[in-house]
Amino acid sequence: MPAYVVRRLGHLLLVAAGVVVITFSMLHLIPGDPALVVAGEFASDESVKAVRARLGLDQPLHVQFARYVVNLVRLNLGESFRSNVPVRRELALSYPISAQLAVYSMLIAGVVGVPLGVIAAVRRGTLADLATMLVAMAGLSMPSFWLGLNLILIFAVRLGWLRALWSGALIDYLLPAITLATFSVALIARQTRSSMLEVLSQDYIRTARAKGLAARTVTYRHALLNALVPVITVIGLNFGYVLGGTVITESIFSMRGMGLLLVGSILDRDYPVVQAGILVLALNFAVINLAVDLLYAVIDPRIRYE
Amino acid sequence: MLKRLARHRSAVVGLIVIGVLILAAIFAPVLAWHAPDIQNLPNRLAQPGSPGHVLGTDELGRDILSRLLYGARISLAIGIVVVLVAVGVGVPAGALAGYDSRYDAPIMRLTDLLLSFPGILLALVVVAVLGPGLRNAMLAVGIFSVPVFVRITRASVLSVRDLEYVHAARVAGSSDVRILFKHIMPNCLAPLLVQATFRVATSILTAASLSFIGLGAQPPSPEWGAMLATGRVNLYIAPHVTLYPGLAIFVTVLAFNLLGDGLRDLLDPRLGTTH
Repeated sequence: MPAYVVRRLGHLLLVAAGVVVITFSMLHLIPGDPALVVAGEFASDESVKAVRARLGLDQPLHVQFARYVVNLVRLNLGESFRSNVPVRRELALSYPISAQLAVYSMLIAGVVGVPLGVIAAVRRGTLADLATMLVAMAGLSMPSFWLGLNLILIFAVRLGWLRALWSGALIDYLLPAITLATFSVALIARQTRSSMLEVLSQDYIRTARAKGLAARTVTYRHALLNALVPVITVIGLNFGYVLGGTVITESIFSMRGMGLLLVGSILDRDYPVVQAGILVLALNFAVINLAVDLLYAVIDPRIRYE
Repeated sequence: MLKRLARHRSAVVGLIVIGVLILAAIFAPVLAWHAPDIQNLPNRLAQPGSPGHVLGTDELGRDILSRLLYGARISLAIGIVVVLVAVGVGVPAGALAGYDSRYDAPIMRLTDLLLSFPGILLALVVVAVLGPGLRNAMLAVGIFSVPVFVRITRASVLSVRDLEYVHAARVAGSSDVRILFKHIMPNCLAPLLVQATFRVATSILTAASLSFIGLGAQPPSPEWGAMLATGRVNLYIAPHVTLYPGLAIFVTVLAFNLLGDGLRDLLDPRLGTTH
């Protein structure tokens, strides 16, 4: 186990290094002279030169990269072109919002998706199964922004139960979290159903039933625990979708999270914010993936990766 | 095989919807009563069912049904182009990685790196570099879809690479290229076809999302996601402006997902969900 943890940590570092290289390269991959792009098409020669110096673009590439990495280690993410506020401060404000949204969504997805899948599998072939799978299929195909707008329309405008305007209160996360969770609920329900069906057809389940154990015990203790391993894979992979999906969801509900910050920065070509935002989300994802992989090894002792 | 597909109910529903969409896209100029970009300001936000406008008009008085019909062209084109880009890059890379172990590690590390960007974020990176717009959004979603095809192709190639008949072909003097394309790749087609179908759905959804947040197709394009983005301003007084484009995206994506599920049940029994 410890060797496995060390190896996975090494892998995490590798991914992190790759992500850093990509975010560093972003500014250099822009077609044309990045300083000209940043300063604007009609900027004077002096202001282009000033931008070049400010961004360190006049230095050799390896010096620029070294400086970028050193700054990252010091958690110095530069300053926003738009506001001149340190990027770190902007992220400190927006990150908790996105993180909460992602966590609430995953909670909803797990708490709703797994039982739905279990019900569908246990009552396989019945109306309950068919209905669950139809709803799941619809959930997979639903554009989240459309769902979000409809939820606002129904619950905030028509029924007046919830506010449509974002204020940052806990209750304001409800509609966004449901919006973001829908796709994941569908995915998890489908995965739970098919892996439950597979486990339920195994010999040891028949043995457990033959022993006269209660159906409930067989379903939950014997089948579900074993069926959960692939479900956890899907939940882990899905965290990536949820992290990326916050970008869309925040736009729908005007939440001041990382997504809204990123989109605004991309439109305004505020590259320090874009680089830092993408870096933070990608590193988050890498850490979550590591956690999921380690969780596996704990749940299923057979898993010891080579 | 086609017969079995015809007996798969949800796949048939998906196929019919896709057929209707393709016809709508092809015959949009004939079917649409109005040009998609003709403004009629006195007749703004007309309700569905008003004279001459079955689905009403938007904030500039443009006929929503006509815009949806023209939008079908864009969405289907997005789905097809994105999958072509992803298959065009991903399949050769995956085949190379699976067939020749010298290329395996570098190609797979690069794939892992692409996969380390969560969800739609990789597409955002590409748009951030190249700038917003429909073409760049399509390219972005295409790059975002490449890793899936690399992995599937590699896995399928690996599973048949060392089988007897491949050795026999080599002994018979076939070149690597011939072995790969003539003998190995045909065996990988099934999972690729299934995945390509699902990816059309995902791509349409992702590209529409990009347009919705302002990074994809720009107004006045009748792209469905962009229509929703401009319509949301009047969400409270004219919900129909956002209702129909969203419904169009939903139905289209659903159709490709249903077809994908059907194809998977038929072609890839190991992954079947309907036992």
